[in-house]
Amino acid sequence: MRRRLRFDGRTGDQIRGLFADQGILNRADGSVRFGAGNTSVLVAVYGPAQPAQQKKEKPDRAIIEVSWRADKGAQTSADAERELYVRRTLEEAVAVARYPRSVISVVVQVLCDDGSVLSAAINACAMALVDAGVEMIGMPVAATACFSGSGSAAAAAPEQLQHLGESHLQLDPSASEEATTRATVMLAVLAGSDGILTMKMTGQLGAEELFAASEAARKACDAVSVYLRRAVEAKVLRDVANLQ
Amino acid sequence: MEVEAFQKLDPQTFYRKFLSEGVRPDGRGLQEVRDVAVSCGVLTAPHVAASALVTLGDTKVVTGITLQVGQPSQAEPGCGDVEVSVHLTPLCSSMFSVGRPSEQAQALEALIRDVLTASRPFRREDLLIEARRFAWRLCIDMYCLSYEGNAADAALLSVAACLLRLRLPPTVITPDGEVLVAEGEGTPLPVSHVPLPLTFGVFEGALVADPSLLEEDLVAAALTVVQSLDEGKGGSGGGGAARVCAVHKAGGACVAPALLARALALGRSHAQRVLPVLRGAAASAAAAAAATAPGT
Repeated sequence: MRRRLRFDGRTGDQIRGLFADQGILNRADGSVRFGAGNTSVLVAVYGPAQPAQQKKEKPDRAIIEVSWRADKGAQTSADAERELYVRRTLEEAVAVARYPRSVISVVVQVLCDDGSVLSAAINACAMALVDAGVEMIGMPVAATACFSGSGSAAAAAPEQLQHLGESHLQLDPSASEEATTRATVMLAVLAGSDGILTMKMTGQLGAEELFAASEAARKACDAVSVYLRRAVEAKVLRDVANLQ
Repeated sequence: MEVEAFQKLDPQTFYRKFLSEGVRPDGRGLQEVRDVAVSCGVLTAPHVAASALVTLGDTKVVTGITLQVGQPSQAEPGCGDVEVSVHLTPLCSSMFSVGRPSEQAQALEALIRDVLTASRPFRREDLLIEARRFAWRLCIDMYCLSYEGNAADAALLSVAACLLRLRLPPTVITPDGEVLVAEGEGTPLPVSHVPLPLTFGVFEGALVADPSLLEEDLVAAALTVVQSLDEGKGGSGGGGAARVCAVHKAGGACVAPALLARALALGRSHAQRVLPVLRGAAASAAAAAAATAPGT
């Protein structure tokens, strides 16, 4: 395989270094600061608790509320869409039937958006929910993959595209890579399973390229899930040691 | 037990019984899409640059594109802007209320904007009038008139139909630095590919194309695929090549990658049926406009 380095020195199939600080907020039931490279998000989980508005509660399950705060600027409809993506993804992962008539409130504060922010937020939410001790059916993990090549190349006819030819799969794109990408695929799965939980693909791709990107993202999800598990284990062991 | 009572008490089992027979409560097959009808140029006000009404079964949406002159953003001095607003109001269904746009409306706005700006059916550079100073801003307004499920497909089809009819009027820049719209036909906006959507519901591992309102509540996940056909090559039948312009699946039950591949194949064959309908509607609107033009 040809190894072609990106601006930050990674190869196409490398993700950026992950980091996580769990339980960093005092008042939240669960919290985490999670990041990959320069992208960093702070997630706080409150609940399960009684909903503020009674009419909102569901008799047979918990409802999940997500509010997305961008690092800068007013809330846009893109942020509203991200809220929807995060909420729908978490609803499938959290054992909502265990908490009837309650609400689990998740606040996502983007600290720095340097690309792949939606997948970072989903990973952060998974860790924050574990930190809050919310029972889950599976651990949602997410990763982003993109195809490099300028957006204007995508508008060119397919024949021209072959001339331009240079299109590379890049995992975990940074903001500068996302700005010039031909297509982006965000994938979330439940850790250890093959099924697609959430997928958001934008841009222009052939079907084979879509599956290549999705497969690469799934492999990255596996790597992320190993990291999440180790980080949570280390935190629990640390807490136990502090108690003794 | 009465059929209606059965449906009310246990809708999941009711639906499962239908699907196991390979038919849906409204009589369609599992992969059968409701009839699509498109008419272009339904809004005749002179400031509306393009409009289209799409009916998908009983779901009806109307979309209008208006053009405004704006200043290109600092970040993209050579591009025009696209603004999308989706209106899902009590007019179309009692599910919606007036006031702040619902989450569903915002998600639909984001889907349309993603398709138009990321998959680039037209170059936003073509909206430029003068670099750094003036560019056309495409204001896309979609109103849902009747919501009977799958507004996403109807909305994207109506936007695609509008794009086929969109013409940018000729402009004159005065010495004072104002943009005046000149007389004349205008130039059609070059559209390199037509993004065509198909939404599926996933019910117990089966794909249900074009879910109705009833089905939207029952299915475990929704999956929208948007594809464009490579016209001109590939030719007739044979499932010509297609490009994927968007895939949206927000949570819900997990689907196997093989099911996604099946959805893409079904979306492609649906696109081949729908594209002539869109082109036909655009052409007949053009003919109607040409017939009235000499008289005025």
